[in-house]
Formats: sequence, C-alpha cells, structure tokens
Amino acid sequence: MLSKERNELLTQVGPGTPMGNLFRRYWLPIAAASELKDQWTKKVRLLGEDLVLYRDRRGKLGLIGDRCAHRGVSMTCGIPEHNGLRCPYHGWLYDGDGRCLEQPNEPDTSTFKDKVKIPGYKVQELGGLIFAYLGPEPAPLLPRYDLFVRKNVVRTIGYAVIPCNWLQIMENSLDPTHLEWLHGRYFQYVFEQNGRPQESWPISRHHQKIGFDVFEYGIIKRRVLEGQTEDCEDWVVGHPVVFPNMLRVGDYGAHSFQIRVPMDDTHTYHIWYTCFVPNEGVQVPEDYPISLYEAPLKDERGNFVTDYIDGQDMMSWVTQGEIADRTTERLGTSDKGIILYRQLLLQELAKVERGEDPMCVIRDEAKNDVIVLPQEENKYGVGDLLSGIAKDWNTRYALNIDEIIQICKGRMSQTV
Amino acid sequence: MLQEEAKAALEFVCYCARCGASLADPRNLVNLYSDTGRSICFWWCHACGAKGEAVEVDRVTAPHMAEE
Repeated sequence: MLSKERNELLTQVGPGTPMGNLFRRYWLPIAAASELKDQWTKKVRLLGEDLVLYRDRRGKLGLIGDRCAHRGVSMTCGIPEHNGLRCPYHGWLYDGDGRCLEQPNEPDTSTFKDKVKIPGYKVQELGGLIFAYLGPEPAPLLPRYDLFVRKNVVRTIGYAVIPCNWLQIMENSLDPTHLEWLHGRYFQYVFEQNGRPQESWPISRHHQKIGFDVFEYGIIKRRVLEGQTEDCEDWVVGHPVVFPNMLRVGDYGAHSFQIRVPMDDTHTYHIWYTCFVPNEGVQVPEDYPISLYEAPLKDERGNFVTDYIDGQDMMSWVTQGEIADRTTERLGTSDKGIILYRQLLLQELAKVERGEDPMCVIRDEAKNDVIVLPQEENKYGVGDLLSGIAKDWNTRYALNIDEIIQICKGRMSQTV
Repeated sequence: MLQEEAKAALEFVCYCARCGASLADPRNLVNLYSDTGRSICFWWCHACGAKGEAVEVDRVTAPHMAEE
C-alpha cells in the first residue's frame, strides 16, 4: 500500500513530472523500422506529447510535434520534402529539429519563420526498431543491448497499445509467482473451456523460493520451482528487468525483450522483441525479414483474448484500472520484488534531481559495443520451453511463425 | 487487518532512522506489506539513501524460555 501522492509521483509521466523527467533520460522505442518503409509518417504519443515520426525524401528520420504552429493541423498528414515535413494546410516546412524553414505565403523579407519552432527530437534506428530521445543534451548513447545486435537470429516484433499505466505493467515483471497462476492454473482453466488437454502444460509448478538482486542494469529475478534445487539456472542465472522499462526473458531457442513505453499516464506502447536462436550449426538466411504483428488485447466481441500468455498478462494489467490504485492494494511477502523496484525508481529519480545520470544511461563507447545481459536458457528445467510453445505466446501472431520454427530447426535454410 | 487499520499502519513510519529527515515527501518510499499477518513498513530515505523495515510491536513474546 502506498499513499495517493506517492502513487501519483510513480505513475505520472507527462512533461515536468519527476517520473517523466526520469524517462526522458532514456532512448525509447517508438516504431518498427519497417513501419516507415511503406508510409512517410506515423503518429506517435510519447510521455504525454503528440508527435509525428517521419522520413524525408533523403530517407532521414525525424520526430517533431504533431501540430503545425500556424493553425494546429496534424503534421501526420504532412508532405515529406527533401529536408523535412511540410504542413498540408498552408505549406509551412519544418526540419527534424522542429525549426520552421519556410512559410510560402509570407513576404519574402519576413523573418517570422525564424521565430517559429515546434518540438523536435533525436531518433536512431537499431535492430529493426526506431528509438527517440526526449531528454536534455548531450544525449547519451543508444544502448546496444545484446538482442538488438546479435547475429544469426530470426527477429520478430510484436506490439500493442495497452490502455493502462506503464507501472502496473512493469510491476508484473517483478512478480514471479503470477507465473504458476495466471500462466499455469488459469491457462489450464482456459484449456478446459476450449477442450484442450490440460495435463501436459509445463508451467503450473509451485514456487519454492523467489529472489531479487540489483545489478548494473536493473534487477535480476530468480526462482526455484517445486522439484528444482538452487543449482538450477532459474536461480543461479535468473533473468533481468532492465531499468527502467524492459524485461528480458527466454530460453535456449528464443530470447526476448518486453519493452513498456509510456505514451501517457493511461496508455502504454508495448513491444515484444524476440530473437529466435537457430539450432547449432544452422545459418539463418541473410536479410531474413523482421516480422511485425499486433498482439490483440480483445476479440471482435470485446472479450479479452486469454488463450495465449501475453493476452493473459494484458488482461491482468488492464483490469487493474487505467492507473492501479495502490492506496487500496494489499501486498504480501511475495510482492517484495515490486517494492524493490519502486525503491529503485525513486532512487534513480533522486539521481536525476541531483544532475547525475540514472542507471542504464550509457555514455562510454567502449562499454556499448555489446551489452550482454544474463538470462537462464534451461527454463524451468525444460530447456526450450518458450520456443517450444511459440504458438502459446505473442509470436503466434507472426504470419511466418511456422517458417521461423523450420528455419531454426535447420529444415529450410536451403529453400528460403 | 482492515483497510483503515492498514492505512494507519502506513503512517507508522514518519522519519528516517538514520538522518532524521521527514519521509512525508512522496519522493521517499513508505510501502506497507504484510508478513504472516503483521504489517511491515518498508521505507527508503530520499535524503540519505538509508532503507529499512519497521513493525509496530503490540505484543512482547519470549518463545524460547530458559528451562527451570
């Protein structure tokens, strides 16, 4: 249980809020690179700001405020030009810094354009994602976390706009025991309703022990399930919550990031970024495309889609309310990871207030060649558990999931 | 524990045990949780970085009595 004021401080991310200031110290993913292949603009809502991501005629990406300073028309409807984006209404042209370069109907001698500026932010592309930085200069390096730069893997990118606050989504990742219920017993209940055998489902074992350690890049989560001992990988290695908004999870065959990007206080852009790892000796076809797909929250009748792992997670996040009311929550000992995460958020927020860089702001090039994160591979002692059930989690919505599985098993390397 | 009792327990910790700073500002953490029926306040001090847990003692017990 928290006070109302503390809950507000932890959840609000708009301009000028403490948590918004913390998030503005990080590069945040806002789109898949492939989204700007077939279209010139994408409307983006990020940390309470309405923005437009665009590609100019030179192929350069830009991220500027969505409203033209002139009469407020959406720049998402704008015309891409050689050096910026032009408002469709009266032709005002802006560059990637948000500076107004042209006002075609003003006198040639006018200096009015020099006084007009809309927000403009830095963008960079890495690993098939486009990242934005909204914070103070100098911008830090875009962290090269291992999955973004790993070679010889097949990547997929899933996404969803989730109508709730980012914090309740992140807190799910500090709550290991929900695994045995939400993705175990509840999943078996869904199987029961769908007429699918329940007995073979491998993730409903009881947690014997959970643990959390703060490390250089966030918090490592550990667990020991019934039948395991403390020398299992789930305990010895574990997997991290990368500060402030990313979960790393996986097994032998699939390594994944779940990235939670606050759009505003009540909406979160969620990315499931997965690298499928081929079997030993198998070479993934060069330039194999990165699939992009939406993971549905609800079906056409408005019911939550709960017959896959991530749909179950989303149901749990959204039904807590737009912003979870932590003044009425009743935490127990199994929630200590959540409390540790809240403390880490406030601790790093204090660093920002003191003018220091918070955790995971990288400025050392030498450190940023590849940032290798720890992650158990022999998941729950089953080995390829997650990749083995690729059709029971979000990747089932990748149109080429069957092909990906075949490629990774080495059965399609000659034909693709 | 009832909701109102839990709210009262949340107010049990008011000052940092190390530096004495007030914990009222929301930039400090005061987070209530329950351990085997007892309410525990986890606190973290924004001013000095100290953290700890506080439990209100309402009954004193001595579980391992000396043998007579």
